[in-house]
Amino acid sequence: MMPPVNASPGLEVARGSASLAHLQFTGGAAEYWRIWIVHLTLNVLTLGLYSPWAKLRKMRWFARHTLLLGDAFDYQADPWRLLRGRVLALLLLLGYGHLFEFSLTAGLVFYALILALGPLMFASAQRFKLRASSWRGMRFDFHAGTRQSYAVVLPFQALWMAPAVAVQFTEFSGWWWALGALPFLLLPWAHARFKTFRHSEASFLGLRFQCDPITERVYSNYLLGLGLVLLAGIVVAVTGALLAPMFEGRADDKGGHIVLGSMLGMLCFYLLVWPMFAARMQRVVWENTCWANVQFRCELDARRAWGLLLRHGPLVLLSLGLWWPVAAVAWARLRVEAISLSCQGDLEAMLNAARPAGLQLAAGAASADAAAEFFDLDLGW
Amino acid sequence: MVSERCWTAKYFDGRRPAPLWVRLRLDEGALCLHPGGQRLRLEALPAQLECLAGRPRLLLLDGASLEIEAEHAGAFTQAWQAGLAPPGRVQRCIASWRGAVAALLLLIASLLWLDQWGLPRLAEQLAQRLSHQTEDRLGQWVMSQLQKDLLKTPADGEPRWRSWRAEQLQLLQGLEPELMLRLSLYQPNPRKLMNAFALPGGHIVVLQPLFEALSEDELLAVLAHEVGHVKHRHGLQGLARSVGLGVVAALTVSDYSSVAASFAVGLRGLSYSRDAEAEADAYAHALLRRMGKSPALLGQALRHLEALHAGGTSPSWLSSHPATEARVQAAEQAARQ
Repeated sequence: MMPPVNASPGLEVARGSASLAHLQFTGGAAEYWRIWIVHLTLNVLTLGLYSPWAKLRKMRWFARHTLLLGDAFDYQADPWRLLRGRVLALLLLLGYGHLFEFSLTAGLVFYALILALGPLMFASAQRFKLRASSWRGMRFDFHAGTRQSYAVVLPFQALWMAPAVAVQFTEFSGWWWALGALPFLLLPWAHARFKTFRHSEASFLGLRFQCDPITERVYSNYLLGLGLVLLAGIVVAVTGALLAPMFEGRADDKGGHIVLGSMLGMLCFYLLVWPMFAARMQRVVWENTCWANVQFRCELDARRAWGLLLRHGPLVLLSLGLWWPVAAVAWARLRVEAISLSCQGDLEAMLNAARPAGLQLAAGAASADAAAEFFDLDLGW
Repeated sequence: MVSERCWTAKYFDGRRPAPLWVRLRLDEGALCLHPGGQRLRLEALPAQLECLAGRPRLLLLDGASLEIEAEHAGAFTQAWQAGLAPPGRVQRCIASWRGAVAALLLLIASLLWLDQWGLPRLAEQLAQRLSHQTEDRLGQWVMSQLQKDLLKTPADGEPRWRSWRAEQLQLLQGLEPELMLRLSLYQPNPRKLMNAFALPGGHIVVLQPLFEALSEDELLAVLAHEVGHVKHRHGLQGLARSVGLGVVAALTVSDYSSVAASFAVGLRGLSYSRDAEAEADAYAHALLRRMGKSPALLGQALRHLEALHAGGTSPSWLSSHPATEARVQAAEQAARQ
């Protein structure tokens, strides 16, 4: 009468002893659209105060619709902590965008503060997120210590923020530009380290995920991205040249030029470069990740990402954004279902046999929220 | 009736990643569970049932959880909600299309309200509350930013400008005694830039090419338009509105796309700017008439400027000013009245 336990949906056990499990996504666009519109309305009516509850439900909805071996993931966290994190994130965001406009010193002090706190905040946000996530009632965890976080996150942050700081000191002229661009050669390196770090500090059932170095492939991604940026630049320049006569001499209408120019640039970037870059990054990272004797695979490629964008992008624009949730669900499905796990031996048997290390504290799993330190905040916006 | 039904559920004990099939029964206010033949009675259940994603699930206090079979999800949820805990308002709203459409209408209404009434009123209030001193300081700051590039070279020393400025200031002092006006002439950085603008706190900047190109009457009309900006405190209001717009956009769109948010702010900001221009034009018509001049002068000045620019136009929704033709017609109509 009861379904047998070992009939795991989505698990293929091959003839030998290897098994392959695909992640499944079961979320429907109609259901998400209703959640989305209700959240949006409540966010506006409460001036954003509802957003932690909204985010929680959203995260949970996506997690509950992501299945592995027929069982759903879950996301459980304390919304009040999310609210605290959001307030902090908002303050940082405001400072990031606008402090330099007021004073150079204020801007620099602020950047120093971000550099000093950033790694800690990243680690705690990541810990928050993973501890909130669970599968089959077992929570994930994130272990990175302070020193490690600084060693990995600091260079990435510094390189990322370098241009904004450099602009304050240099005039846009001559060879200084080239010199200023030098640190960018290191950006892919720092990015690769960051990605590896994020995966290999995570754990499930007390067992670490492992991520092999991916530096070379990240460099090639960046090169490809750069090539596409150049291509997009040429497209924008040519379009601009063709449209220029329309605007000539309208000096009082600079706002219009800038809006139109940045619209074109952004459009090219988002249509051409971003899907490819995001898809390839995800693929590189997952293909080099394993957990216990489970190897991850990822079949996401640029073509599918572009296809999705072509199908949904125009509809999002035409519907003034109301199509957005449908696109978001399609993107989630694409990303989730691209991932599969291959295991030497029977995955289900392995999980059944797992005697999670250190799970004496399992009884306290539900109170992990309470145990977490004050600073374990979710900073995502 | 409810208590007679038995449900099949997956039980996760929170200790091992292996599901256990159990039967459970809803008795009054509590729930009986039989994991592996053992009978438990769980009195102290959290009242909340997660029925998100069509997989109703009960979180137990010890970190364990129960997940009801998908086929009976709907029936179980009903039984649970009828017997133990009715769903919250948000939950009900999400569950039905009627609720979702109501939310959509409410959203549209509140955005329209904010856009048409809330934000402008807020900006106005702010502009009224803020002291002139603060406004002046803000203007000084904008000026110092502009002086880095666009306004590098002041040209206040020019004799023709000095006499014209003294004359106009005296005239305006008589007509608008409460306005603190400051006029300055600059040689702009792109040397041919032809413009005049008003900053918060009553700073009006005229660029030299404009000063040289227009006749005295036309200059007066342009000045009247800029005084209109000062009178209505458009600089400050524009700032307050754009901050307000940014907040609203961040609330509505930026969770999904910050790029979309910045476009929305940009486009709506330009449209606010067009409204402000029209308001300043209307003020200029009245002021010109009080000076004993025809409002049509403003139209003449605008035509003249357009002829000097000798160029096409960008689409009106991308422009910070209304179309010249419309402004000229408004000026001529004001002159006929």
